[in-house]
Amino acid sequence: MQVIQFIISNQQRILEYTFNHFSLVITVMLFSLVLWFLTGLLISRYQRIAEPVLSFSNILFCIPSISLFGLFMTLPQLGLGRRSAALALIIYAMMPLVRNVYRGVKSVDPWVIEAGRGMGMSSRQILLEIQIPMALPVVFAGIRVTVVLITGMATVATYIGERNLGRLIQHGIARSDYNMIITGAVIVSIIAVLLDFILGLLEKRLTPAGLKQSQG
Amino acid sequence: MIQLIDVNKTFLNSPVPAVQGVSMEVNAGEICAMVGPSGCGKTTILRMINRLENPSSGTVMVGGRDIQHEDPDRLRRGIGYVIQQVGLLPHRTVGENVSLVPRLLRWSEQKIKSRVINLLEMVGLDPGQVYEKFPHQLSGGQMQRVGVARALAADPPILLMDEPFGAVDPIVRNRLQEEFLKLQQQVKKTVCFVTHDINEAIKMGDRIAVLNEGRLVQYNTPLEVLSRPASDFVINILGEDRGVKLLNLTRAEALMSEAVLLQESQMDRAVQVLQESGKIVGFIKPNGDESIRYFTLEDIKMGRPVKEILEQGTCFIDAFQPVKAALETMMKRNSDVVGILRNNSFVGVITWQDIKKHISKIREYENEC
Repeated sequence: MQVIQFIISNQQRILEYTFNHFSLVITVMLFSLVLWFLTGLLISRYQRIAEPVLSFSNILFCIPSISLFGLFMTLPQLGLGRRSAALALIIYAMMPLVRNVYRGVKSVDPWVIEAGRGMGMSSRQILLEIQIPMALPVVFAGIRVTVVLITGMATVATYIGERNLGRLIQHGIARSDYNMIITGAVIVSIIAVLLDFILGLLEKRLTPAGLKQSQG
Repeated sequence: MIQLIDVNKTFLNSPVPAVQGVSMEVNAGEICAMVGPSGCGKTTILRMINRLENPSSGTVMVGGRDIQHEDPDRLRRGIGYVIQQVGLLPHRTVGENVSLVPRLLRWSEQKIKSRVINLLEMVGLDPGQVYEKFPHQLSGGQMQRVGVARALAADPPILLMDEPFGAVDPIVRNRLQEEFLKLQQQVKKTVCFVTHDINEAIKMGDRIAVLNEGRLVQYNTPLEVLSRPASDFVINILGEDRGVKLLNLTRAEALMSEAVLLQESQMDRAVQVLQESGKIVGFIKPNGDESIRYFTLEDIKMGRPVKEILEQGTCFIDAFQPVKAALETMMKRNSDVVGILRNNSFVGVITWQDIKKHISKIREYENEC
C-alpha cells in the first residue's frame, strides 16, 4: 500500500526516471544490434579471428560494471551522464550478442550450405538466404538475454549521473526507504519483462515457418 | 561431355594425393558410376567437375570447355548436384527448394511454378500434397526425391550425384534407383554417380569407374568389368558372386539361341532335324493348340510317346529379363530348358548348358591369372 502511495505522490519524478531508463536501454540496444550483429557475422566468416574476439568479449564482460562506468566518466570526451553510460552498456552487450550471432551462423547444417554452393549460390546469397534466416532463433535468444541484462545494468548508471530508475534504488538505500527501492526494482523488472515479451512476438513473426515447426 | 585429363588433387595438410593422374571421359547421356572404398577419391573427382574443388593439376572439361576459366557460380547453376544429406533448406517449402536454381537464373514466376509442379510429378511426388510442405515434414525417401527434382530444376545437361540414395533404407533405395533409371530414359542426362556399393554401381552405371587410392583402376561397362576385371583389387571389390552378378546383368536374349520348332505332325522327323541343327532340345507345337512344349533328343531316342511329352510343362521368360530370371525359373520348375518369348511370341531357348558356358568365361579369365 505504501508503495502505491509513494508512486502516486512522486508520479512526476518516477515518470521521468522511467522514460530516461527506457530511452537509455533502447539507444544501447540499437547501437549494439548493428555493431555486434556485424561483428558476429564478420567473425563467422573469418574463422581465424573468431576465438580472439570472443575471448576479448568475455574479458570485457567480466569487468565490474561500476568500475567501467567510473572509468568512462573520467574521460573528458565522455564525462558524466548518458554518453559514458551508453558506451559502457554497449560494451556489456557485446558478449551475449556476438556470441549468439556467431553460434547461430555456425550452427547452420554445413550440408545445407554445401548444397547451396553446389547449386551455384554466391557467398552473399548463402549468407542472406541460408545462414542468417537459419541463425535467427539463436540470434533472437541472444537479443532477449541482452535486453534483460542491459535493463538491469542500466540502474548502476545512476552513479555517474543518469537520472533513471537506478536513482530510486540508490536513494532508497541511502535513506533506508524500502518503498523507494521496491518501486525502482519493480518498474525495472516490468520494463525488462515487457521488452522481452515484445521481442518474443517479433521473433515469432520473423522466424521462418519451417524452423518454427521443427522446434515444436 | 565431361572430360578429365590427367587430373591430380592434393589437399593442403595431406601427405598423399587424393586423386592421381585420372583421365576419363563421360559420354553425353550416360551414367558413369564411380565406385571404390572411402578415401579413394571418387567424391573429390565429382566435386572437381563443378569446381567445389579445384584440381592441383590437370584439366577438367565440361561440354568441351575448360572449366578453369569459368565463373564457378555460373558453372554450378548449369550442373545438377545431389548429395546424400540432400541439404534442403529447412526454412523453405518444397516448392521454394525446387525453384532455387531457376530463381537464381531469374526465370519468370509463372515459368518457375509450372516447372516445379512438372518436376515434382516427374520424381513421383504429388505437387498438391508436398508443394507447401517443409522438408522436416517429409520422409527420407521424399526428401531425396525433392533433392533430385531440385537438381533437375533448370534442366541442366549434367547431373552430379554423391551417394544420393545412401541414407534411405534398402527397400526405398531400390525403388528410388529404379525410378531414377526410368527417369533417365526420359531426361537423358550425363550423370556422374558416386557410390561405395558395387551392386548399385552395376545397376546404375552404363559405365563403371573403379577407383582405388586416388587412381582410376578400371573404366568400362559393367559387363566388361565383371567378365574382365583389370586387377585383383577389382576382383575383390566385385565380391564372391561375380557369376551371379553377371547373370543378373546379361539379358536372356544375349544367351538365347534359335530353337527348333516342330508341328506335332512333323514329330517323326524330330531326331533328324535336331541332329542336323546340332541341338539336343526342340519344341513342339501340338495340333489345334497354341501352347508350346519342349522335348529333348533323348526323349525321342528312348521312344517316349508324344502324348507324354505334351504333358510335361514348359516355362518361358521374356527376352529382356536377366539370365538370372531364367536360372531361377529352371530351378523352380526343375527343368534344364527355358523358352524365350518376345512380345508373347516364341523366339528361342536358353538351356542350363548355355548358362554354364556363359559363367565359365569368368573362370577362363581366372585360370589365365
